[in-house]
Amino acid sequence: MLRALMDNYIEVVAILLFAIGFSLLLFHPNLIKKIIGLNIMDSGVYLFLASMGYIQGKIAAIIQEGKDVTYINPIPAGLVLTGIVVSVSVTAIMLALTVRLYKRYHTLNLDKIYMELRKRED
Amino acid sequence: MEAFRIVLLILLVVLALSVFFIKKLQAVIVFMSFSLIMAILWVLLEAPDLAITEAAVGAGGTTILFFLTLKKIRDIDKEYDKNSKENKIPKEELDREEEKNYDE
Amino acid sequence: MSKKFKDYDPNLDLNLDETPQKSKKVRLRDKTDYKKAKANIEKNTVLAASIMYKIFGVIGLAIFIGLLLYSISFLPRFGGLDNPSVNEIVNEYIENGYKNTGAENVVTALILDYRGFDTLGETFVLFTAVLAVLILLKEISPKKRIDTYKLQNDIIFSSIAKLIIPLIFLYALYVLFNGESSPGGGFSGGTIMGVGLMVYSMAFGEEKAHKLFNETTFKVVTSVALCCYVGVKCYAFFTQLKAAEALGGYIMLIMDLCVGAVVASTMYSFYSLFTKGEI
Repeated sequence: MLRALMDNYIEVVAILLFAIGFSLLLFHPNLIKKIIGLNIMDSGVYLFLASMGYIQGKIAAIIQEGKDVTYINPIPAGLVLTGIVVSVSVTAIMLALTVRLYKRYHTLNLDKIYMELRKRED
Repeated sequence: MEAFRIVLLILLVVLALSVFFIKKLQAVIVFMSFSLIMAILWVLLEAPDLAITEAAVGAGGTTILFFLTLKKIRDIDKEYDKNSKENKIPKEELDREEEKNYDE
Repeated sequence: MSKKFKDYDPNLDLNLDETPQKSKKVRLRDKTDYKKAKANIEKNTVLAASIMYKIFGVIGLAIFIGLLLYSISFLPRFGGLDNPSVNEIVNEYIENGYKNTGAENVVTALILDYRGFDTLGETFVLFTAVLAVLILLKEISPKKRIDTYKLQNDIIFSSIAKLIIPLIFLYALYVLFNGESSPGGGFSGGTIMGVGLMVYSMAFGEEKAHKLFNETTFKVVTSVALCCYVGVKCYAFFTQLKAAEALGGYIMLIMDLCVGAVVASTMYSFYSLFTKGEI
């Protein structure tokens, strides 16, 4: 198993990035760091997907006539392209929610917002 | 090329780990450089469409939105202080006033 | 519910002879003690809950990441020549991609012709995101802001921006029109054009940018672009023409322009909603 981990080091780094982003999302009370953690998670997943399409010795998938070259697998690149633009819109919505939460509670700390909510319910 | 790729990947992990220990504004700048290194990595993985899109979106889309959020938070603080000083309304009354507008 | 609790004072019924100030003091002390005790209990429960949450979180995360790392040993070798992911479909896309669509960039041929409906769904997602941010951040009277430092009064920024903005738009159009034969395409060109609009709004002032691009412009541009994309794609779908022959071979260019317009207006309206409160 160690040999497989040493050969596929890009996938290992992608899963490490996913773990770091996920722990930022779970354990930090600050709202902006949670959003940064979500973006890092997204980047890890895209790295994992796009590394499935690489074949050694071949070049990018733009067809040039007359030369004797072969091309890589272009399908994962098409999937990740959509994903990158969608992650921007998700980040924008979450930042807008952060601004509204700040207007209402005047703090960026999620624990304090939760305690204030429980106080107001009583 | 292998050594270059390994150095870039180690740099990615170090940048991602460093977000735990620093403040908000520095974390946004670290995130911008994280996006730039991802763009270089896409070129090394032979996907130039992804490289252009990640460079444009990472530096021009997400990071600008983060800076605008931080600035807007500072503006809300200033307006709150100004309102409560001028009219001498206690802060709890201001919160309840905003709640009313939102419900109606 | 708190108002009911305030109105009901059990001490007032008992101490009718004493002065009201004394009874007020007694009431306040009871109230603050009660509140402090309640706050202490709440803080302790929240603290205990957060420590348990962190411990269980670390354990769960470790198990999850351990399982994922274990599953890497079943993956094929990175960059191997005989990967099972390279099968007939990939060969079909690479060999017949240029004949069927007229585009040399296989990724553009994929996202606009073979998987064009995914791009349509993604433009819908962008449009919905702008609607959601509009609901959250729209201010009814956006002129109540504090006067912050305006960038158009800065000499360095405005003089350089007047030189650079036409170059940014030219580069965006270049990346858009060259989506078929070189890297680029709808998404990158659209983002660059959105950033160009942002710089225009920063350098020339917000009133001029409002004349150029306001809410009616956003509605018209997005609706026309989406309907045009759907119409052209349905025409090619129902007449069963190849993309290299439909509409004289210009069908990919039209779809690129539509996607680029939607992405550019999305990026600019995010910026404008965060600073001004209106598009």
